Amino acid sequence: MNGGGMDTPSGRHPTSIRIHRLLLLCLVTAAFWLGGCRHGVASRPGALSWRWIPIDGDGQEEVGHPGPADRAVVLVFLGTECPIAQKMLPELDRLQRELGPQGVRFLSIYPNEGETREGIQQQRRRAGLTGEAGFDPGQRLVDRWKVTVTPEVVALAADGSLIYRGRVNDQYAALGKGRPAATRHDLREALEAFLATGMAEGERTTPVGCRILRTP
Amino acid sequence: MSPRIAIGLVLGSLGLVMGRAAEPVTFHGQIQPLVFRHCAGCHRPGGAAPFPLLTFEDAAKRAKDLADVTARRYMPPWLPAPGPHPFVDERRMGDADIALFRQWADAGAPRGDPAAAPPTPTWPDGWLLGHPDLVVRLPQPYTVPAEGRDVYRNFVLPLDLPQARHVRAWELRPHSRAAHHAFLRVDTTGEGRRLDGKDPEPGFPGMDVPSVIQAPGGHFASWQPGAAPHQYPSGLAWTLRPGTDLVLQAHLQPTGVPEPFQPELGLYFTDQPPTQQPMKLGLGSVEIDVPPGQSNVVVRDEFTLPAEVDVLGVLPHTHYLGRRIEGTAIRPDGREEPLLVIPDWDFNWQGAYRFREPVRLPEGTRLRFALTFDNTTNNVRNPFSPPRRARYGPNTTDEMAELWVQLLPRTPEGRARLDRALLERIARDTVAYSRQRLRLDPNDGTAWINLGKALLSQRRLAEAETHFRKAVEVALDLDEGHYYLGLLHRIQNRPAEARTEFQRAIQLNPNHARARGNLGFVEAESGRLPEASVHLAEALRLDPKDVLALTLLGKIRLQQGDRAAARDLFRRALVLDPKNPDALEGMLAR
Ligand code: HEC
Repeated sequence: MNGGGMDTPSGRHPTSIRIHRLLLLCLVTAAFWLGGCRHGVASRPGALSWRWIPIDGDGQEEVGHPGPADRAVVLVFLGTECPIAQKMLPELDRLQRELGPQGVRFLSIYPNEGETREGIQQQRRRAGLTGEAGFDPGQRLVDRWKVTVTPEVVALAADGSLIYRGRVNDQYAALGKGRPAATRHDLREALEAFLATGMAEGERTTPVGCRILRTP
Repeated sequence: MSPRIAIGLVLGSLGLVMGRAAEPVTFHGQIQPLVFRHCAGCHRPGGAAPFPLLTFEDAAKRAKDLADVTARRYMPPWLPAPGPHPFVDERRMGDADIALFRQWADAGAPRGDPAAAPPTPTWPDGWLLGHPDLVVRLPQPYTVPAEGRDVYRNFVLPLDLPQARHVRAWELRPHSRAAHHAFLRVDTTGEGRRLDGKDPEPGFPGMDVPSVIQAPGGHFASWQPGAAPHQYPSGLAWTLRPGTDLVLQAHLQPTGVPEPFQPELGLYFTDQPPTQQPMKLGLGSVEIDVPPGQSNVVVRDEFTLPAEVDVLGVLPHTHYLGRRIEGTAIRPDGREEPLLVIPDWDFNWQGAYRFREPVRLPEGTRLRFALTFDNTTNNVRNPFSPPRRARYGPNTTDEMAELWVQLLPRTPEGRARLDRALLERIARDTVAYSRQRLRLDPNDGTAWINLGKALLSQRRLAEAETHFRKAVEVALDLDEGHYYLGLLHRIQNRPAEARTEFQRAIQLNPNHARARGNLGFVEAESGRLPEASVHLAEALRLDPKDVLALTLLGKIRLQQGDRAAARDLFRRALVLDPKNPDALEGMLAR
């Protein structure tokens, strides 16, 4: 467990107070619960892997695992035709640039029926996105993680426990119903808290976007 | 009708109803015709929407989203509730049709019989009304940033028309998904070009444009994505004179990727000059103050028609906290009729609405406007969480409350009465508006000028002067401030000071035609005819329609003995103003 959050003077960091309390709770309960301090999800050490078709690969399915430097893996479900998904790209790019070097690995997953490699690459080029992207053949990742819309994120610790899942931020309340800018940055807050404490809190929000495209 | 037949009919229709219920809703059977009629205009290749909705494959994979967005009436986008006076190009879908989308999704989006598919509609490849008489394209693309707040930018579209043309229709092709709304404006002064030159990027910023950049005579000229081309009824075209620029005032919204914006505008001309010009009444208020946590703050305004009119259209405007908008006509006999009701305003789909049939209202009708703000967290569009106090202002995080009503008076006398009443309102609104702006920004030079102008029109010269002085003090580069100081000094008979101010205005803006013309007058009045003629000639180069400059320069030419030049100038003045007494006298002079 990493106690990095303790270095942050409380009050300056938006999540520091919450982290503080959690740490306390962990210390108190540690004596009784030797399994560590995990909230909401059972830990599945070593369970994290994903099967997908990387967009820049040769079209073959590959199985991915967290590397030694990966502390967290964020599955970002995206669709090129969903306006809300596109609007989140700059924020996702920023998160990757800032948190990538701290061990957060971002995977853009394009599960929708009808997506093409050209369409995805074109959008990612226009958005200036680097980083890994791939298809979800058979929408197996969607099913496994019970993903409902794009954009939706599932942030997992390297051992597979859930850090956070849901929306990127609170800009939209429904399709076409949003504020001029977000007032809460849920994904960022969750990842920063995780990096600070090492604890996967398993928080959830309701994602808002376009349903995963799939002919019934 | 015999009881037996009646029973038979009831049973028969029951059978029909049951038969229908038993038959599943299918794509080719019920959904595709609806999609073609209500969605495909935008959801087609090259359309305004982000994906096509033409084929089974397009629709089936998002069947549940289609059911949701139609049930919420987010799609097709159409804000007004149905009312007694329908609008042109209404995009409203009936409840029964909306229910079909839900039933289809719930049934697992079955395809149905492809043989039953309706023919796919076709759209012209480019311009919907055929090739325009004139196409203007923004010379340089502007790039909308990938994220951040909405962008308001004004783009100058130079026309270089050799002769006056009457516009009977126009279509805007934005070629960008960032374009959310736009107004077309005309600029006969070159002010737009000057402002455009202030930064290297195309266009100039701001929701507020100088008042010389105006909507084309009495029209809203508003555009939104998916809008049909604007066509004006005969007699209601608007005229573009040589030297006019168009200014496109665009509301652009970041889409997540940098979006180049290089719109094209197609203009369709007619030989028929306009026979009438509509007038615009602004209902609304700048006295907006919505405390946080309040969901029911109502702003109201009212106007009593001084003459019989035809109402041609309405244009509502508010930002993110405005929820419900109501425009009502209360006839002299007390009958109330909604003109426009928007139950759930959406800033992203703002636009103007034109009545299918003009709404005739008698003199004495009261036009009432009410707008409800919701500044709670229940309003998911609230820019702030927790909510903050919202007041009037031009930024999208400030608020506004307006309903513009486009009117056509029925008689010339009625027009004159309406004109007077509107001028009074405009003076009142200008003062209130400028005061609000100065409360927000005491260094707003334009607001100081507008207050000064209102005082000037009431002949309160000393107060007007204080305001114009303040304007040039807070905004050193404000040519208009010096222009109005010059004008004031002319009225006060202080020619030397007037000359200095006009010269200063021209120094700041060499294309300031009115400053040139006035400087010519001051010189002429001081007997300096050669200087006067130089300035008047320059004023006429900048604005060939300046009748005052034409007649004065004509008189100077007469005095200088250049009869031919003088007659030419008087003739030009008479073309513009056939009864101009100075020009008539000048033509007769021997
Ligand atoms: C006037 C043009 C227009 C019409 C008509 C229209 N749409 Fe749309 N639609 C749009 C635009 C533009 C967007 C993208 C909105 C955005 O970028 O936020 C959109 C987005 C959508 C979305 C995605 C939701 C979102 O905002 O991400 C769905 C689903 C949709 N439309 C369904 C429909 C259906 C169903 C119909 C017909 C019943 C329809 N539309 C008619 C213009 C239109």
